[in-house]
Amino acid sequence: MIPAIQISRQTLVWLFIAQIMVFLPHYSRMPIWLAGLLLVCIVWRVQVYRGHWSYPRRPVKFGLLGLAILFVLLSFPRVLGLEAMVAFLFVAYSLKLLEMYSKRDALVVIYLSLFILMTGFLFDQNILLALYNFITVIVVMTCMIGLNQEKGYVFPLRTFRMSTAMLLQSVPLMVVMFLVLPRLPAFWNVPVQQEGAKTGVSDTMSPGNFVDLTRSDELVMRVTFNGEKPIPQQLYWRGLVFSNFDGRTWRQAEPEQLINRGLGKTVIWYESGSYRFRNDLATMDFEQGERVLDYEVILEETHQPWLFALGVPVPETDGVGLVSDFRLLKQGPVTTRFKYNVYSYPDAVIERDLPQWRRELETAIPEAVNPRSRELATRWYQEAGSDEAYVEKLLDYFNQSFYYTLQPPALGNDSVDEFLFDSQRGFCEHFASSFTFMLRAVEIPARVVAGYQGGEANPYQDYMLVRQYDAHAWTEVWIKDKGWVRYDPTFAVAPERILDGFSRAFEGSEELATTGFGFDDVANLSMFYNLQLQFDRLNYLWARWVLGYDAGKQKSMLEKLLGAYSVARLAMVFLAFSVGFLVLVYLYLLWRERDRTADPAVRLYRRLLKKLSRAGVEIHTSDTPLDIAARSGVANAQELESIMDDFNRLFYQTGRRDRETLDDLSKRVRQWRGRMV
Amino acid sequence: MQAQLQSVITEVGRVLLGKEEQVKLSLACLLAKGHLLIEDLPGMGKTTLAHALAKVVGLDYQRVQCTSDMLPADILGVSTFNQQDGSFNFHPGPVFTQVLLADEINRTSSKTQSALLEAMEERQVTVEGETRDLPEPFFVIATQNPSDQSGTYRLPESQLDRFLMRIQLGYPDQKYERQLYEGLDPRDQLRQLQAVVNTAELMQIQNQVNSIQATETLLSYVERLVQFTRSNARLAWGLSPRAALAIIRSARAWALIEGRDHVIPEDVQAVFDAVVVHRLRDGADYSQGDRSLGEWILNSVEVVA
Repeated sequence: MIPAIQISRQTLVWLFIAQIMVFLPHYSRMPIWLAGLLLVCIVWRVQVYRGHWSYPRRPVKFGLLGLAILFVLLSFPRVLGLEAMVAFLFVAYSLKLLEMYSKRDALVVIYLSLFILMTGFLFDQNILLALYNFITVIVVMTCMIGLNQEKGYVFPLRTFRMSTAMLLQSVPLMVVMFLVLPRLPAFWNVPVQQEGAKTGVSDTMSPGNFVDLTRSDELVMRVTFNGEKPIPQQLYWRGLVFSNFDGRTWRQAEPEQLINRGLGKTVIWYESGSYRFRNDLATMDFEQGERVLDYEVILEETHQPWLFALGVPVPETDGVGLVSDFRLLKQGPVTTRFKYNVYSYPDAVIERDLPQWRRELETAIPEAVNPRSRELATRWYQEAGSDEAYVEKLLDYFNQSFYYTLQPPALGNDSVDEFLFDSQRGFCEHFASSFTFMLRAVEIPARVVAGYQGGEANPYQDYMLVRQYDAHAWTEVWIKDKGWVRYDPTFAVAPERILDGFSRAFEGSEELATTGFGFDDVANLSMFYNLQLQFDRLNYLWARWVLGYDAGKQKSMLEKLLGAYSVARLAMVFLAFSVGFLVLVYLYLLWRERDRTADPAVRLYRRLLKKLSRAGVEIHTSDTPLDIAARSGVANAQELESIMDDFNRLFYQTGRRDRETLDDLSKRVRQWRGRMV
Repeated sequence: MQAQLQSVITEVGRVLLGKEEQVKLSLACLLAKGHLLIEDLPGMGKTTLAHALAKVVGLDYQRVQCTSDMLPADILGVSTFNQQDGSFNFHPGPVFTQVLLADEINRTSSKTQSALLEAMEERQVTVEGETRDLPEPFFVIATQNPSDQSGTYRLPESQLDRFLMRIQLGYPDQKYERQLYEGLDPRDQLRQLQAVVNTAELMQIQNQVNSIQATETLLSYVERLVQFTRSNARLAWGLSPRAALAIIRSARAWALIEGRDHVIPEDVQAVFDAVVVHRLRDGADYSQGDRSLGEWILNSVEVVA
């Protein structure tokens, strides 16, 4: 097969650059041999262009394809996974080069480039990738322009500049369409769960879980407060409530264990504009208290349904529900960044009257585990006399004899006994777990709550960052007349952990270094740290305003802009803006083309010419005043001739320029009315 | 004076039928103290024009037929040794005249071309170390065959630039051609021509050209025309300042012939093609509908701006 039209050199080069640029963001996800395949195909195609090699024959092509598919199958454990599919696309994308005979084939490669580019967003949506992809689109468009340029056109940079200019010019349109076009929810659902991904706080808690988390500085969520902000001691982001204990591991209660007996439901789901949620909420047993915190959370993907919020949260986002133990839940796992709004009542009193079913749930402990602890609990409870005194005594005990460490020794089956009596060293989960156990041992309702504690404020933007190393576990205890009260035994042991935040508490300590925790070392370089915060701020704004711009936000924005939202109104505003914009452009062009001649006589003459051409007189560039007068064909030709004679004299005879002549001429030009015969 | 110029044109027109514009351009060229290049096919009346013009303005006339084996001395003159008194006698060449017709200048070698062109520029001749002034006025009319004809040496651009104007005669109109067939032999007619001005009058008229007014507005028109040729991609290069001066001088002469004491854009346009086109190289076709390069430039530049 002989190609009808050889694809030009500049297009080829741009195409190769585009392909490599398309590949780069996927580099970490794709096996290395894919890069090799792409390079081989590029080299082959270059040799074809230079006339050294020929296009591969059919058997070779099929052989390569088969081999590549085999490699894909071998490289990915989940063949139907997203990564494998993208890899397949890449294989086709690279091999297509080997049969890129004509313009049409090059177009296929160009369109594929755009498609593969978009697949990058399935894995990541941060602002850097968006910018990078924008540049890649420019390069891809350069190929497209190059493909349609004349054969001999060899100014690749000029083509690139053209493409850049065109895409930049399209940005305003893009913005308008982004703002105005209906925001459709994704109509496909891609299983994005990556193998071995970190998932943050897990749904069970046994000794040692949290330590891994503290080694990660990965972002969990960003929180923006509207109005009042809480103080650090109040920043307990509740995510999971563990009610079931088997002696070693804490688990969440099963949904049926948590059914609100009065309501018959475990979860009440927020639905905007529905009264049901309000009604259901009214049946939940809590007194709001004085203060209200209003905030917005952008949660990174966790692949789990729990959402994190401060004490007694009331959700304000569709698809978010309030569970009967006052934590938030999302319908379906959080597979992409998820934004939700919450009102929290930090002073609320929860379940002043504890229902019996709940009391049973929150006091259950397995028989015959941790016998020493049970015995101690019974003794101390008797000594203390009241629930609250007992709690204080326990906290005192932790405060005196225990210390907080990131390297706790491993514990066996009677984990509470071992911790309380032998090791006495531990991490938040050890404290929370044994504290709760000690309470339950004397039938005081108590439960472990897991989530995050603290968070750092970004000084460049008014929001708060919560990272994985802020993961924490604490205890909630039901006290008569006070309802559920939060007690943090870790606070008793290491108050600085709570007051200063995690990373500060361990600043410079050897423990961090030996646990392999590197973030703090880097964070000490404050410039880097500031840069990181700045960048995070950018990403936050991106997530909040661009990724988070959904149908609801669009509607509220449009309502704010238009007063009330309707398609007709939208169309009118859109039209008005477009017309306004065009008028501005027109005015600008007028201004740019305005008569800048200093000579008033010339300006006057030009005015006359404009009048003439409006009257229908054909005027050529090379026409002199006398030419125009001679063949104007207007009705009052005599007057025109006389005016033109005057102009001729004014322009071409010396000593004819005086104020009077000019004024007179100006008057005659103004009075002159053109009309064709 | 105006009448004299008009009668020059009529008289020449009697021999060269229907070529009034070319005659006027030639006269303008003479008045502007330039030299004229006539480019056309053989037999179109180049020589007749030169001869008639010389006769009518009462100037000496010499003619050189350029050939490929011609040497500079054949034009400038030679010194010969006089055995009797043992001295050198200079025999002036044909260049020592008032009107020189250098026929088929592009047939001679570049060396001879240069000698002639130098004489045109300097208005003096240096032979064997002695400089001799050429008579006043000195007007060279060179003719050349279209450069694609055989046996031609193209005049280089630098030398084309020495000619104030280049004109083409073209075939006569049908009407005049018939008159030509019916009338007398042009050579007989030439013999009958009478001078209508004498040398002194001619030189006086030549000096008047400089006093023709050219206003700022007009000069700015010329300036824009020149600028345009310098910035347009269609042209290999733009017009030189010498060319700009040539336009102005020619336009003045034209205005004088038209009987005005000031230049108007029409004058510039009338001489433009003749003054400018041989100094430029056109890089494009005439798909725009313009008949010539000069017209295209004129059509691209506003007259008043």
